[in-house]
Amino acid sequence: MNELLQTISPLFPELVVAVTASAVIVVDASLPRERASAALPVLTVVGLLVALVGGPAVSAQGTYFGGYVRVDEFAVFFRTVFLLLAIFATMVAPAYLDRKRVPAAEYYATVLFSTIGAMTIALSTDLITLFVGLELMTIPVYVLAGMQRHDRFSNEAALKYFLLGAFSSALLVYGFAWLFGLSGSTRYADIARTVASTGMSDAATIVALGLVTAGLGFKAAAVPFHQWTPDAYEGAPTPATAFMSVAPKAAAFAAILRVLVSGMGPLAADWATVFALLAAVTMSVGNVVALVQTNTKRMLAYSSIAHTGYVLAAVAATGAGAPAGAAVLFYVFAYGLMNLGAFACLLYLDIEGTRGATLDELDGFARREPLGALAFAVFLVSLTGIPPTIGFVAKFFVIQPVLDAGFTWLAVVLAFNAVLAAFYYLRVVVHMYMYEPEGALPPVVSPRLLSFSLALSAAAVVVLGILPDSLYAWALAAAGPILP
Amino acid sequence: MSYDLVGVILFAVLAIGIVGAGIGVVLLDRITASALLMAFTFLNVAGMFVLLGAETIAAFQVLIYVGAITVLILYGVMFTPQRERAYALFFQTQWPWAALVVAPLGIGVALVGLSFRDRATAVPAGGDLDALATSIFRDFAFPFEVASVLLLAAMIGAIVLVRRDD
Repeated sequence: MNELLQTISPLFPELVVAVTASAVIVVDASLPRERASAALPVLTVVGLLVALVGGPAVSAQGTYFGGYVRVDEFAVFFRTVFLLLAIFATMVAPAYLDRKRVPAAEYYATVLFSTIGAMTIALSTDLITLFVGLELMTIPVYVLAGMQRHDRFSNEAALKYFLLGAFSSALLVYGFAWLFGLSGSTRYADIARTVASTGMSDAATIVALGLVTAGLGFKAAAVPFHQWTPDAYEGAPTPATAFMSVAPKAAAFAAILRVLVSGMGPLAADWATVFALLAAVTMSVGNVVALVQTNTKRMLAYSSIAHTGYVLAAVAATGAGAPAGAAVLFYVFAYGLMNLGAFACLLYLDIEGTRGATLDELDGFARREPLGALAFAVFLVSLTGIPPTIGFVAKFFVIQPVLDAGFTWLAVVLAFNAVLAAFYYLRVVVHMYMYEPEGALPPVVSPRLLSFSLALSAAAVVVLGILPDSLYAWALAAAGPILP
Repeated sequence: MSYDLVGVILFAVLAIGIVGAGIGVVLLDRITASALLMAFTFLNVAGMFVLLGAETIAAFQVLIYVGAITVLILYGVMFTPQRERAYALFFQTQWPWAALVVAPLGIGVALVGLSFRDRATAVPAGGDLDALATSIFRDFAFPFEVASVLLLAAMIGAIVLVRRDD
């Protein structure tokens, strides 16, 4: 018994989340509906908090399961990010789920399952664990997208996301097969050793690299692999959109860091240019298309593509060493906080179906829901990258290594894009604060739990924007294990 | 007739079976015929595994693909309301474009694949059940367990999406 506990204790957070997911389903089946809808979010958040707080205490750092599981600072950082995002996504949801008759227990369980998958990616030391984790992360998210079953946009979102997601998984696994064929092993360390000796001279390396880049590019929603994003984000139930715009993207970047930076690190000089180009195209296309959107949910979907571009810029700069890795981690953390918050702010408006508010529907929102509008404004300012918010600090940390890595042109593109983004983000703030409402507006609902969690995260966005040092130091430490 | 020649002939027969049946799956517009041809493709792939000395994998190929997956697809077809509709019109109008994109990619990948021929490192060891079991339940114990969580999550997801309203 002791031996068993010792074997599984490194996986404490994953096990707690898995048990919570099952408990949610069982509790839902055994309680009357009204009591279940009150108990389930509490149960979910408690389970996630136990995993978050107990994780570092119980799960000691080291390698386990014959070296196939590695708990290092990187894994701990991403575990924390995923657990925080899941807590946030749970706390903003209950009122919306009730109002739209979305099955609540299944929503929470699905978010929890997806979280386990994301954490598995962070723990992985080989391609098979990574792939299983990636699928466990994405398949529940397809379900989340389609959970509002009687809304045809939700159906469309789920189907599009599923088809393109399955397609990208196929590309990715085919790329993994090539990597295995090259190195005879699925471990990142062995792959790194092989590609270090063969280099890019081998055509098979190029094929593998291309397939893996395309597969992970789909998951992170990088242009030109982004086509599923706007429809999937717009059609999914809003709390699900909030979750799926951040967690899968964070997980995709965890995978990119593990596979490309650790596994294909010796070739960084070659793929960095490709990633710099991808980053520039991704941020530009995302921002330009976001500019012409009038539906805020769709606008935020395109803007999330632009943010993928900013993180990719930091990935391209990993030749500059630990600061670039830390920039990726810091940006992923910041993006998760502010983007989930921004989508969640749309939950104040009781809109028919799943589509988000148009700009006109946000006229005078500040007077109708002062706290919600303030939180929304904070998130939008942070997404723009204006001090004193975490969004500004995150962009600042990205630009420095990009310059150090010699991509001066990319830093210019990035700065130009930040200005472009200011236009459409701040336009929403102007509509909320300066326009008088005209015509029929959707009714405002203000659930207390939603306001509480948004206030908390908006405060975090500002506080971490003023005092980013300890978070950055942690990101720097977490970037250590993945850099060669 | 030497053993080598028999191997080459068998390989040719299986390869023609795989490619021919694969083309049939895509081009036929009767879905049941497509499904059965796909089973035939899987069966030929199993034959390939036997030829490579990987009997265990061949057995799994037959059990899982020829058995379970084909049956699942046929059930899926059976439960789907069939209407007189020209599937072909929808799926088969874009084939020149698809061919234009896929052909260079396919040829490229095939060429790179051929470059592997001289340094094939794969040892035919698929017949060893002990090694397979050790690999799954010791080395890959963690991903194996995660896969079972994945199945649970997928099952719950499927139920949410298709159950009747009460």
